[in-house]
Amino acid sequence: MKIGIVSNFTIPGLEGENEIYLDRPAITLRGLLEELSSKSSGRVKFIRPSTDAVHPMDFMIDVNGVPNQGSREDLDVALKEGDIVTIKVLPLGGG
Amino acid sequence: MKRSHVLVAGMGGLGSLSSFYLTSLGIGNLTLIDCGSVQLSDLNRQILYNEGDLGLKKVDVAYQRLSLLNSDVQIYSIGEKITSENVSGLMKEVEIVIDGTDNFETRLLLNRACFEKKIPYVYGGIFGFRGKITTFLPGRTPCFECLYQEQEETVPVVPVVGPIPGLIATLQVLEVLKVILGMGDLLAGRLLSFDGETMAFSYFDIVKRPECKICSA
Repeated sequence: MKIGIVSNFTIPGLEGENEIYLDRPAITLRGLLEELSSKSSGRVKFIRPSTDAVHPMDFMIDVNGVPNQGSREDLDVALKEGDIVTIKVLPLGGG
Repeated sequence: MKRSHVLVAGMGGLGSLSSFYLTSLGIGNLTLIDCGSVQLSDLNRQILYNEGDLGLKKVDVAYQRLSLLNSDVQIYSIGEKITSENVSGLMKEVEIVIDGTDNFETRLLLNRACFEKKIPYVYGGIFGFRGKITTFLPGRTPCFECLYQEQEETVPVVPVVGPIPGLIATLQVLEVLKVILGMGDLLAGRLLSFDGETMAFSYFDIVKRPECKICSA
């Protein structure tokens, strides 16, 4: 299956690409993020092992324009062929 | 270094430390801008101030303390809020802007003005145990608005663990120093992220947003 990827940074292992081809019929958002982490050789870790979730101050994620909070439950959302997942690294507001 | 002029935008956790190091380094001209006064809750991280300064304007206290640290540095203190009306004028004769603000609205203003005047902008931001830093070089790297376009804060109050601004401000000063001296590898086009909970540093190669109305126009 093919998933579109939109990001404001270059995901290592996915340079110059805006989609990823997966050799499996189904995948969850968690599975996709783990796959992207694996392709980056661990340089980008989207899911924190201690919480099994994405920290909102690390990444902002949406699926087809719908925000995903990246919690343990939210990561279990199933993706389908042609979905577009946006992953953005965010600046922090405090000073 | 004596000929250089750095603008410290915001004199909170980041700005109070970066201005201290810039003064001790002997930066020739330092402009400090902040419209706030010292609050008790600032003292966990804003190292220029103490309990005796509560209620006083930050730029006035900072001017006094930094002048005592290095009298060779020409310090200009401005007790104003950065606005769309004054931001361009604040950049007059400034060579580098170092970010110490605490909101996205002001950062967007600084970003636009720095881009228009081709001034390097050393961004720093903090939240809890986290800090991020990058250096925007107009015409060469993505700009702040490529990363973020919203003016509103996503959280009403930003919690900060004291040492985090210390770390990020120190790295910001290193970037400023390298820009001035024209040496080393800058965090140009790279966002450095530090997570104090896991003690992990991460780098992200940020990309230009094709529809950015600042740097892709």
